[in-house]
Amino acid sequence: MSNELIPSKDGALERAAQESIPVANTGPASLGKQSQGFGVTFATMFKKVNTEQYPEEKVPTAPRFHGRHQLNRYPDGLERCIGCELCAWACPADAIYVEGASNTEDGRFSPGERYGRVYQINYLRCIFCGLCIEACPTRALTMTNEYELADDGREKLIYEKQDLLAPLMPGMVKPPHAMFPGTDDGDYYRGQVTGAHPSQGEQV
Amino acid sequence: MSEVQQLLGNDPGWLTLVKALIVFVFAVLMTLMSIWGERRIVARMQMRLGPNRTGPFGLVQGLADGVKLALKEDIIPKAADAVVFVLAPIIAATTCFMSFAVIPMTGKVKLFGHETTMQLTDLPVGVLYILSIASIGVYGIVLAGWSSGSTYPLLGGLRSSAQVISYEVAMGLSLVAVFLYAGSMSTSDIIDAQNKIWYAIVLFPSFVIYVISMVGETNRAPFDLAEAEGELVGGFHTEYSSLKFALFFLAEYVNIITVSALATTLFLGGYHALPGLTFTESWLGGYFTFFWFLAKVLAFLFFFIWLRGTLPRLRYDQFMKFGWKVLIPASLVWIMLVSTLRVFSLQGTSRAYVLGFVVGAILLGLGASSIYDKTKKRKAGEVAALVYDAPDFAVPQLPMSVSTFVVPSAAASKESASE
Amino acid sequence: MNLILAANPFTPGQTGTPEAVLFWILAPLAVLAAVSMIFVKKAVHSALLLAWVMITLAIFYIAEDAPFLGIVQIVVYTGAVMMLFLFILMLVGVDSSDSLVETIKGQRVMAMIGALGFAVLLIGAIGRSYTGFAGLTAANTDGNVEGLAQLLFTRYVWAFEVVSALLITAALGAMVLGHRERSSERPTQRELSILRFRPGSKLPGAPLPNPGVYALHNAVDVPALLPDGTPDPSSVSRVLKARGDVLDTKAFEMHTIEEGEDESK
Repeated sequence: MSNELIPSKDGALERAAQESIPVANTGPASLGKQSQGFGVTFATMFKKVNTEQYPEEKVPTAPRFHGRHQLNRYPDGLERCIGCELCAWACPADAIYVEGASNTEDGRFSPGERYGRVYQINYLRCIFCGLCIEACPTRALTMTNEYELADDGREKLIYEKQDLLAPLMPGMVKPPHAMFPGTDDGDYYRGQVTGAHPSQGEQV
Repeated sequence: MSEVQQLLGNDPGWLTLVKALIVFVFAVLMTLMSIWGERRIVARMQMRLGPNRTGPFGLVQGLADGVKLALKEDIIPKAADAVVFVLAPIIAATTCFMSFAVIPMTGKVKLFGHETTMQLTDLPVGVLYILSIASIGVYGIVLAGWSSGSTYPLLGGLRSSAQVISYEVAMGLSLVAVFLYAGSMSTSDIIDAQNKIWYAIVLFPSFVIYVISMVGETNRAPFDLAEAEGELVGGFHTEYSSLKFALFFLAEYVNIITVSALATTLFLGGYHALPGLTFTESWLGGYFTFFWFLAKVLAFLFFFIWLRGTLPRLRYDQFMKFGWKVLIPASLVWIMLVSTLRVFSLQGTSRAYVLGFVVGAILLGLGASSIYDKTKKRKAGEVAALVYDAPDFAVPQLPMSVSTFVVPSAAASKESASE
Repeated sequence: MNLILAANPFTPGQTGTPEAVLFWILAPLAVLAAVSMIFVKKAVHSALLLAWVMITLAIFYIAEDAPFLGIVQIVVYTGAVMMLFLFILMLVGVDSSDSLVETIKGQRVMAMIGALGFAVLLIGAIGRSYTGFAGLTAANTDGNVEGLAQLLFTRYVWAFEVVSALLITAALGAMVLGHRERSSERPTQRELSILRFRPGSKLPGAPLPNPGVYALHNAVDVPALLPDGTPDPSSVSRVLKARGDVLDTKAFEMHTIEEGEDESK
């Protein structure tokens, strides 16, 4: 019975079908070649080591390093996060918990109708994959380069919204406050609001 | 009685105790140093630093590890034989220190006003004593494996000890040439006999065989399959924790130092200085010879570490085959050659006979190796002749020159048809 | 030993104090070990006690100015012969629970007679060869090793070579008797793989199913359930099946819920 998968070429395979042939071994290399390995290890002893002496020397991370998350703001201080929970749905490790709430005229935290009232990231579950950043429609969620997150308690590693919010820069007004007069959330989204208006409140 | 034996025989009892203490402290300090050196040097060979946090340059790391091990929880498995379980590491640890009793570390020195050498005792069969201690040390491994009460330690212990005793045979045979040339088995006599030239040069094949078998005997890379963590978990010391494990660890490293010290004594002239620098032997009242001894032992230690950092592990059957089928026959042939030459030199036969013998031996060796090569080539040719053409479809590039296809054999198809 | 010689000059035939101390500490230990060897429960303990007796003997040889013999006693007897004994005991696992009922009739009587006869032969042969002791100082004139070598390779060379030939023959005989030849050629990997996928082959084509994982029990002794609800016997190791250690799945199976039944009950 010949195997149809391998074409037969003038009976050569039938001839070889009588026996299974061991593969020829080229054998071990010569003693001289084998001793070259010793030279490699000996020379490597005098090369510069790859070790980074953390925490005495902290090597800077790459520009797009996946570090701690940050909830960004618009230039006038309003939060970008609209509480859409897309990041929570995108997270493969189920590390994000979001509760959205409606903006009211007295309490407006973000342009538009909704904002993230509760925003938690559990850094014991987060795998720093960045899928949440890819999912965020308003570019509210980004990752900083901060990696020194080690702590000694489980509760301490669930970061709340106040731990994740970006700090207020000079020129921003602390929410809640109204939107820039004469704009709507579309203008904010398109980046047309570049600063705070005095009517919005005291600037930082 | 030789000179050194007389000298040591006149030691008062308390001096022997003091020397025993010094030897013990030396062994322990060398162990700590070799652990440190191993971790740092292997790390350097891998382009990284070793431990450098505990103490300056990580010097205290070995001590910290030892203390940590001692303070760990001591577990004795339920299925273990408690008496033998505790006895095994004790046997392993005590025997490894006993070998140091006959190794001369300095020449003649003055210790507390007495003229003596830094050697505990000098038996007329000193080197054989070390071999016997090594034989008892194997008991530690075998008993550890058996008394753990589970299959993998038992298998690991048996494999480990089988390896050790196989390489012990090769080690003993390689030392026979040294005994022939030195005319004695006492360590100090052998060192005296190396005044003119070291045995590593005169008896180079013995030296090579001894170095290979000392690596095999101590279960070190590349012969460390029996205790590599990927195989058989931890080998014979899988079930051991805490101080008993620390004793095994200690025993392994002291064994390494012992065989290095033995190699120094038998092949590198012990405490003698390098030829040409013999005037340094009288410095510091004779104590400078200790530095020569230490330097040679450290060179061997570096060689052990270098081997570990460079070579991949050999499979168990590969190195057992090597020990029995290569090392031992080579040792035996070399011993026959050496004893013939020694008889010639002792009886003062004429140069012609000696030259004729040596030339004849070389010719025989060349003839044997050429026959071996021809047989290998013929076998390789037979295999290569069976190659046939590659099929039409694309095949990946093979690195080897011979490619084969294993097709369903006609025999197997006939067998299945008749079922 | 030389150390003791130099410290305590002795008269031949008299035991010096260090030697007496050594003897009276080690000899009772050795006798105790030899007697306990017969009475301990485990065979390995027995072997270890025998090894201790051998080491004590070696220490005595060294103390009696025969260092070569003592060291060789350790290397050969304790290090090789006892190690071999231990290997066999550990691998085969001899137990004191083994049956002591004899299968050969009259074995003990014949053994006693044979042992007595052998003892008489030995004592007679050795006694005949006794021509008076020369004393160790005379024997060790050139050194212990040289003295032994001179006797072994000149006067007793024939006996020595015959005994070594006997040892080699015994080793070769053991290897020949224990050798096994395969009755058929070993199937190659390719052939085995083809056989696996033939219909009706006993070799599994794919890995066997794993034992069942249940909410209350997930050890290896409960079989997995097939889609129709019956347990699959091939999912449990055949060793457990042979030992009768397989549990019934009924205790862990989920029973069907009747319609309207409240799950929270």
